[in-house]
Amino acid sequence: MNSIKIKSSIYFILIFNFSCLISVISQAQTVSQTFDYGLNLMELNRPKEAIAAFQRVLFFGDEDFQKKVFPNIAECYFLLEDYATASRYFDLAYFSASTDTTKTNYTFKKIESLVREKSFLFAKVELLNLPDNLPPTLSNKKLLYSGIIHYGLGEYDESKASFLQIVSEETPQMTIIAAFSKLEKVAKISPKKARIMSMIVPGLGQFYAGDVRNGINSLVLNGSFAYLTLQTMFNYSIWDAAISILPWYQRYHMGGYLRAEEAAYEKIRRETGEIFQEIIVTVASAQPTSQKTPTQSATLNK
Amino acid sequence: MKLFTITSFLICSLIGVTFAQSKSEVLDYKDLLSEKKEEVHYQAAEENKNEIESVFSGLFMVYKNFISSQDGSNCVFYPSCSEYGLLAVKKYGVLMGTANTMDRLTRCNGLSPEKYSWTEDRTLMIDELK
Repeated sequence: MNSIKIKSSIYFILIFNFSCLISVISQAQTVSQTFDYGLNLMELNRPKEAIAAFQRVLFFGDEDFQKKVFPNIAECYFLLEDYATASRYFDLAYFSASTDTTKTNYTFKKIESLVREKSFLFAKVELLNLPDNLPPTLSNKKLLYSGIIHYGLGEYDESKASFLQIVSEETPQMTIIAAFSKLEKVAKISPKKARIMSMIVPGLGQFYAGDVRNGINSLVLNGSFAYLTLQTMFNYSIWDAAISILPWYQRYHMGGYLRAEEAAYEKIRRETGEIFQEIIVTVASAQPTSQKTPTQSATLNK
Repeated sequence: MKLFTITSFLICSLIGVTFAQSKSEVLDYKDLLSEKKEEVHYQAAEENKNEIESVFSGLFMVYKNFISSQDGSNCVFYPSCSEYGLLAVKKYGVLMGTANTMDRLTRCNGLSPEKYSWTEDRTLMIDELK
């Protein structure tokens, strides 16, 4: 029994010493190696794994690594189309950056994330954060974002002014002006009016909003219920009609005018989107086809 | 030749200064405000095994497209009562399916929220066919 105990303790000491020796000889991955690994993953277009590596760097690394890691994590989230998180990390990158140029770059990336997220109000705040004296390339970029953001916020005059500044030729300028003038027509579409119209005559609001199919549907359905209500009223009594048919009539009548209002809102969104497309295509046509400015993504991770 | 090279270099750099971004970069924002209309897809009305199921699926689609589409959102359950009814008919046959549907309709009032779990957005109570 004793010899077994001695044997097992000798084995234990041997294994323990061996593992200590291995841990001394072999080295764990350093923080900079993990960072490089994250960069490699980014290059291989594997942003999810890259985020995990960068998070490790963030946990074990010092403040100097933060400067390098924040923009890369932001870029990874941007690639994953998680624009809300990307904008938060670009914000952290902005505050950890030391030079004005990098700060401006991160602000642009943050604006881009916010625009893609459709957080136009926050994007506008960031736009005001940009310096007034930008190099021409960046000032044009600022104008493009300004145009998009103001358009998204429904500030069409400011948007028009920004887009017109980007395009220098007369023909595209005229196209942009014509596109913006179409918005006056869209502004006349009133969801409230559609709702009231459908309250008076079921389906009328849908016709006004251009939704003919649902207009006919609502008219026929509500007409049938109105006819049934009247039939029940004359054949039986007003109370019978009130109890049996009127709740159904009320339900579909109410559904109809709410849908009419929705249809009007949808029409506004659709037409505003179409006009925006037209403007963007016009602005794009005035830009060079293949030239690409070195974006921040190319320079961020270095 | 030298002059040509210098001139073209200057023109190229000027273009680089004048334009902020390339055509494709600007066009990237084209669909930013366009909303894609999602087509409503009813799985319950698919894969009919016999004529009765096809008839009920047809009735369900007519109801969904022409009647339910004109209504507000009144059903408190997920799946909706009509979908539940169709699934019940498919699973238990016309008689028991109709009975199941009737039972569901009597429960569709939102008076016993404690008896059901909720959908992720906390708008509908989950009551799937057992």
